[in-house]
Amino acid sequence: MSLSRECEILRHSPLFAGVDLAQLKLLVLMAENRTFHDGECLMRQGEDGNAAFVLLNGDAEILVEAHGKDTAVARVGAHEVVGEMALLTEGPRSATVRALGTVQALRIDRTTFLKLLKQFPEMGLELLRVMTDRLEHTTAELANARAALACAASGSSGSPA
Amino acid sequence: MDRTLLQFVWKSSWRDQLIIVIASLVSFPIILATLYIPKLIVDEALRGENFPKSYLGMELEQLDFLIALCASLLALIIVNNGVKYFINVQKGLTGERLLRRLRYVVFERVTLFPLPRLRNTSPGEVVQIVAAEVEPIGGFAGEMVATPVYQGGQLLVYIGFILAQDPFLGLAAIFLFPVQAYVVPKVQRIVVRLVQKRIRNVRSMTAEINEAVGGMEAMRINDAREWHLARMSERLYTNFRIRYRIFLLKYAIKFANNVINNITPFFFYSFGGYLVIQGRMELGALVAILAAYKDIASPWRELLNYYQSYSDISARYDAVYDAYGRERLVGRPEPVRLQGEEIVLDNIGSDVPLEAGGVEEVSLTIRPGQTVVVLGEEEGGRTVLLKLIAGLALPARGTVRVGSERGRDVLTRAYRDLAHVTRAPHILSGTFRENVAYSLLGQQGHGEKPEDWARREREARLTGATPENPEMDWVDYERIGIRDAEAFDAYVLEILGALGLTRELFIRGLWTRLDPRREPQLAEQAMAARQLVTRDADAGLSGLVERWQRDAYLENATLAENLFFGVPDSPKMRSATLARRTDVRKALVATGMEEEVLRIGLEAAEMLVELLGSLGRDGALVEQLGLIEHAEIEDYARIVAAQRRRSLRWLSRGDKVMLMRLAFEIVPLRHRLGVLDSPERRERIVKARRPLRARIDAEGWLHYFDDTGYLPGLPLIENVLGGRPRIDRRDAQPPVEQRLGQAMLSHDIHQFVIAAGLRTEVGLAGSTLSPSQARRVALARALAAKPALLVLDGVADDSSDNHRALREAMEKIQPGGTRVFGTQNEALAREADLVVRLSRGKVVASGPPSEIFASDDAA
Repeated sequence: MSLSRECEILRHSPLFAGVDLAQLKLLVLMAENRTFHDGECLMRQGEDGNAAFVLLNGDAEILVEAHGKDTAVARVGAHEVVGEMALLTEGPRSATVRALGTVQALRIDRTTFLKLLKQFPEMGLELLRVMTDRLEHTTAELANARAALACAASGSSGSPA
Repeated sequence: MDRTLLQFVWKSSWRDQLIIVIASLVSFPIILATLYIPKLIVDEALRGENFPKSYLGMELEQLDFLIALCASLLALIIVNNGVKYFINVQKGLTGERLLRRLRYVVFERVTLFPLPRLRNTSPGEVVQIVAAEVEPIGGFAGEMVATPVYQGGQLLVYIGFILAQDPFLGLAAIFLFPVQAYVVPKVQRIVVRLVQKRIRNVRSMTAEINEAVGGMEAMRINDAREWHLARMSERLYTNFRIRYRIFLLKYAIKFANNVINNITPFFFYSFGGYLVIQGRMELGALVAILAAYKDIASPWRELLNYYQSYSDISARYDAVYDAYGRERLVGRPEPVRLQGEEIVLDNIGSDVPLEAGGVEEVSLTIRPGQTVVVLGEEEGGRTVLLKLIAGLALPARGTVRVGSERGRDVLTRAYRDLAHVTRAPHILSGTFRENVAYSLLGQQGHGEKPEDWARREREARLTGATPENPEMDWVDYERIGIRDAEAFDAYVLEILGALGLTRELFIRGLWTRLDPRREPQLAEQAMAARQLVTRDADAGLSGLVERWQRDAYLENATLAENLFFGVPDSPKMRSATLARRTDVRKALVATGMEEEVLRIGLEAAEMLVELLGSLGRDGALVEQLGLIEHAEIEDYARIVAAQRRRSLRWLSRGDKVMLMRLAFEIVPLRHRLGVLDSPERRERIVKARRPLRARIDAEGWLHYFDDTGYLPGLPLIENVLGGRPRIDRRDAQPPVEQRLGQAMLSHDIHQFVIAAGLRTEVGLAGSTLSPSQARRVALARALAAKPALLVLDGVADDSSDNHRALREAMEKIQPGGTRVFGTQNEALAREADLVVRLSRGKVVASGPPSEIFASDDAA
């Protein structure tokens, strides 16, 4: 797959949609190609992460381990980005991403990404916007979930048969 | 070290100096003869009469006489210059030997410094002295004796000659010499003081640079660049001022000398002329004096210059002597043996004061086979006490007893039986094996001596250096009862394996490039492994490896590798070298591939210029891509711009090389520029392989992928796999190295890879090792020598599984070894035989853990 095709795909990903095309090309040039076969993991929960992956084609499922059991929480496909937190901070991965069928992805390394950010700070701003949106979304979901949980809890304890 | 420059030079080179003096004296009559013969030619052969003349016992007619004289002149000229050449070589040789000696002496003295003195020695300063400061001394030392003897001798001869002819005129010719002899040293003394100041300034500058560069990370993170620049600027300003003053004074001396030397003829003309007019002096006599003065002035000037250089160089020598010559040295005392002995520390204290982490009034007995734990904070005296125990510091008070030996210095003499490992150990810039073997080096190398041994030994003797060769095998195998190098390899592998480094060695061994001529066995085993591994269908390697297939385009290989279907002999042969080879170029032209390659290069250059051009001055990203260097972007931009207008044929030779080099390095899966994606292009390249091969003589520099033997240009893993691990499968789990390892393990053929890993480099001071790996290597080094006492400061001391495994490994490698742990971890102390609890440099409790923790446990 050539550079320009990869750029096209990246432009469709919300995380990079707002980034200038020339800078996007540079980002793609510095990134590396990866292929994952069915059942292979792009990343594992708890392991140290130092790269993000952009899915070029194929699907993957996101699994979260709870009580020693992996539970699929979402499914991602082409254009989508996984592990993007690793671009900015060091730390363990919060979920496992497993390929469903063959997946081609672009691997963006943290050090490379930070070097690019130094050159083009406006790119960082764009990413920050997207990530804040996501955080907001997640926070809202969390609040909803908590409310639902509280509601369920009070519902069960408040019904005296 | 000799006190003065003269002593140093004379003592270590008086024979050479005498040879130079004698040769100089021999040349003197020859020079005179070469001046005398032309006069003979003019006066006797050309203007002369009364032929035949007798010359060297022969009766010669005019023409023959001329020929004989000219032949003599020619011979003398050759002899004269021959002697000159000999003198120059001799001077150079003497100077270089003295330089080597002085450099060696300084370094040797540093290695013998007492340890407290070493802590105050800046490595930068030693570098400055050994590398730069002593250099001019070598250049000068060759002439040190010869110049004054030769020029002084000439001067005396001339003065004597004139004095004998006419005492009054002789005195007149030298009457200003005493003035110069008085004034010049006075000024020179100021110059010497400045020279010393300059040396001190440069030394402090070296230390400054050393510190700034060593602490570059701290400088960046604290944004302290400006301050460092200001400090540097300040030092440079001082340096400038000193140098400026030195050359002002030097030129002032020169000015005075020139004036005085030229004033003397002024007196001759004025007073002499007056006397001639008065008739009190013959004109002929005045002319003779002027001629004689000219002869005198030249050696006198040389002597004055010599004096200046001498005091300059002498000042340099004194500066070296003051810094490194006075020290009391420790030497290498007879070792005290600790094996099976009790070590008793009685009331010892450190020279480091308590508030700086020192210890006082420590009494402690270490019995053979015991594990002792020194419990306390590093700066609370623990580190200092452990250094005292390891003999790395001399107690300031108290006594140490080992067997019949007693005194403060007993442990500093027990270096043969002690080992000391810290959290940040010193790792050599060598291989794993060298790092482990470091604790077992003998006093000299053994094995085969290098070819030029006799010469090396002679030179070493002449310069007071050791003739021993570091390239030989220095490991003292006997000390630990090991037969030979091969058995030692196995021994080291066992230790490193026990310390959990096998996997690391295996992976490093896989990626190492080894020379099949130097390691024929390893190469052979690699080829045998390929046979077994490639037959293995279950290893799961197939999807992870791109095999060398003759009729497929290799996506993980460079264009050059694809074109030639092979790799150069040496990985150092870069694409640029390949692009410059005439045979390669001719073959490309003949097969019609030159234009294809140039076009690929041009297309890639266009993209790179467009993409990387926006990066500005930061070259880090460009370097990371690895295709072109940051500085070359402009060149490529120029080529790209020029090619928009003209065809490829008009490219200059240099531009062609640049484009080819760029094209040669492109790996489709890695660089993804799209320039190698077209199937037609790929097919053309694959098809060109055979005709290219027919046109290139690969003998000795290029190895084809389908050669049967080991390919030295490729890492071991690619030789075993018969292909290259796919770049896009690097994140596969388990990774290719692990799968290969398992496959090899199942055939029991993995050992040689680990052995190859033993020979891989650990980087500059171990820069490729993680801190934990560095500690393991240091631990392996300590254990390899089977020390009677192993001191560990903050190493393998916590309660994690990792550290527990390390402690078990130590026990396995050296069962019943005596160990002293320094730690803050009480859990470790509970397993010890003896616990010493330190607080603020004093022992607050000491005894078996049952006593120490009794009160805690009760509570």
